[in-house]
Amino acid sequence: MLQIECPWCGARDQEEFQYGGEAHIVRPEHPESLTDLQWADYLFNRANVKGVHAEQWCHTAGCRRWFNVLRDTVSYKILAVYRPGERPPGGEE
Amino acid sequence: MSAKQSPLIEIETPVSRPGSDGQTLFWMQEHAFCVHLNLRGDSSNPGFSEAVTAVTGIALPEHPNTCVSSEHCRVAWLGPDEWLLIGVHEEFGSTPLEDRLAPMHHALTDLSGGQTILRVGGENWRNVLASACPFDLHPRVFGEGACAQTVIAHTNVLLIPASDPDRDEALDIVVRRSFADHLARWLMDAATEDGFELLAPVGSI
Repeated sequence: MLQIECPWCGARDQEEFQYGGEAHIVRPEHPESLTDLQWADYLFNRANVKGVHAEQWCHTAGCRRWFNVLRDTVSYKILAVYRPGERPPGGEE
Repeated sequence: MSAKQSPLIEIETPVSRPGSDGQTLFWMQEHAFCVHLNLRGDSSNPGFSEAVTAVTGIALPEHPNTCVSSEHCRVAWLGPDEWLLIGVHEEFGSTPLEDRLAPMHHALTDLSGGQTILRVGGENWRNVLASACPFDLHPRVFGEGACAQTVIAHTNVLLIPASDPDRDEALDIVVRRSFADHLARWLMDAATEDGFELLAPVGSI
């Protein structure tokens, strides 16, 4: 079980959170101009990294806010937590 | 209009069931029919906070997980732009606040019929809750003036420390109406060993 630091509520148990997949995926500005392959890439294909992963979490049973987490997918160690709209610390994406 | 009905109508009260060693270390009482108002808006807008203070007499808590109380009402922080106002008396309606907030961007929703308050206490209340609540209830980190949204037995709740006029330290659990029966029965089961007393519901805080 992870302990996640909500940017508003502080450290809480993972049970209160919901995972929201990879972070910083930007919706294409003109979807109508994309090929099916490019659209499918935006919708479904994820980096699936082994190592430091930027991901979205929502504090569903708490303040119900979305935020971003940098987590090592090997050790499960949470390296950083930051609010939506902020850049990940260290410049990774 | 049909009469109001507590969500715990199917649980018989009062009940007293001493634990294995004959003691009763947990009690629970519903505080039904309080006025619950959910308020959303931008607290950096000075008119917004002023409107709330003018109606409730309480300064909007802006620090996460804090709750401010007055004689008539309590305001709990739910999110950076969201609060819960709990009125003690039925007269505490949404109209005066709605009137003042009307010119600005806000949402005021009456949840009175949708949630209820279970007040718990007794010598072992922290132990009883700890068996299904991942939140740290130790007085060192969670005391007067705090509030927290978390889960108990898979049920979303808002916890507000309270002091019961008759029974000292207590905790108010704000829970959705449809989950109240489940939560109350679950707590009764969890408190079987410690012994529990289920008091007849009261209509205000």
